[in-house]
Amino acid sequence: MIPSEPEDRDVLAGEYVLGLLDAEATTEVERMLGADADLARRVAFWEERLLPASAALGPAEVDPEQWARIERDLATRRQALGHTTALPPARPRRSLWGTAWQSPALWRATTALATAAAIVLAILPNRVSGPAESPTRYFAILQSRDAAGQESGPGWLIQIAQNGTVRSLPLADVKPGNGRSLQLWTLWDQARGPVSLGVLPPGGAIRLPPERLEAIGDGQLFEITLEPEAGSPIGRPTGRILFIGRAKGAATQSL
Amino acid sequence: MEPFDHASALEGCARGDVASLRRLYDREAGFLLAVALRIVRRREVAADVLHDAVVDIWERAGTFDRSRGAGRAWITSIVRHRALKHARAVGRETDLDPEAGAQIADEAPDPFVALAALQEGARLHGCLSRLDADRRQVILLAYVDGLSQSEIAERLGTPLGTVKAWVRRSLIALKDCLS
Repeated sequence: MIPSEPEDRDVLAGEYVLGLLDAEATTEVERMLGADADLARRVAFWEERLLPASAALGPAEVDPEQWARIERDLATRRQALGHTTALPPARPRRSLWGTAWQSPALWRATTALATAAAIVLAILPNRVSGPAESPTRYFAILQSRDAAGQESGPGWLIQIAQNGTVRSLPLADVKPGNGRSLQLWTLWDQARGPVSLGVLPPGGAIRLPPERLEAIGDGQLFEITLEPEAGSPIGRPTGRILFIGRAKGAATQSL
Repeated sequence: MEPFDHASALEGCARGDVASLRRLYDREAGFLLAVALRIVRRREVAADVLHDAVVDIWERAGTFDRSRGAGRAWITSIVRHRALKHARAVGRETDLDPEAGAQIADEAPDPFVALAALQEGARLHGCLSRLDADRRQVILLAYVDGLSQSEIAERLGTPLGTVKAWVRRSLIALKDCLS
């Protein structure tokens, strides 16, 4: 609930800017900002008045290569959107896929379909993705693997879009447990060993920088391991493999 | 620093002008990275936050409205929210025991002290100095270090309810002072 008393609205706006609201309240404030000009003004007040406290930190040293990576990312996005000059969407669009991502109903339904992974494969790229989504470049269906190393059927679906967005959808029930997380790895150089693609955020997507995306190829191995909450501290898997499978390029023709 | 027209650069971004984004980046990347680094504490994560935030700035520039607020505050808030999201998602409490946290805080510049030296910080410094030290710290630990209320409670050894009350009262006092 967004309060109506000016003082309460100032406090809410302040807590939002300080980052002290929980995820739900943060989302609500963000949703209201477009429609509630008064709240937006109160938020802008805090953003401006508190800014000097950040500015006082002094600049950090930026990797000189970073701009080139950003520029490549922007170019990939423009390409993925199918135009070169028009603007990208003003706000991240909630595509069907994005919405479905958080829908328990879809999760259950998808889990039910797990054994028919081929059907999932056929449906997801063409029917669930909204037109604004970056096209899928690779899929990987990872097989569940138990503690004894036995595979027990499809357990995780990985979708890698042209723009480097990696979405992952569990096909089997999995709870990493308190203080643990699931970390996604890929192996593109046997000599180098698995490289982390990041800790899988609950229900969220991660994005690969373009140079990593370029390094993905057909048949490349992906795996998800059980790691400490912040991810493996040593840069290679420390926990056991829960899911494992290989990437397959998405077919280019539509159904 | 010479004055820089953040609003015009953002309006350039909204038109799809990459050169505008580049100017903004050249001007602010170091500052924005420092903001992210202070919150996420890890250099490689902070670089990712900066990357994503710059892409966000580019994609959302069309929603920036100069009549509603300053451009520099707008881009900073994008970086902060990105960084906070990251800090919350990885559950930072687990990899930072209070002792280590305190040590990081000791080594990092104290924003309250740094503010005093900053011309544009005089107003905020003046208003913050009217708060009790504990309450001032609550605001700065949240804003600058990106700590959650429970992390602040742990850091200061203060009950969570007290921290929440301090936040509220400090905000009301600051609003009055900064208006």
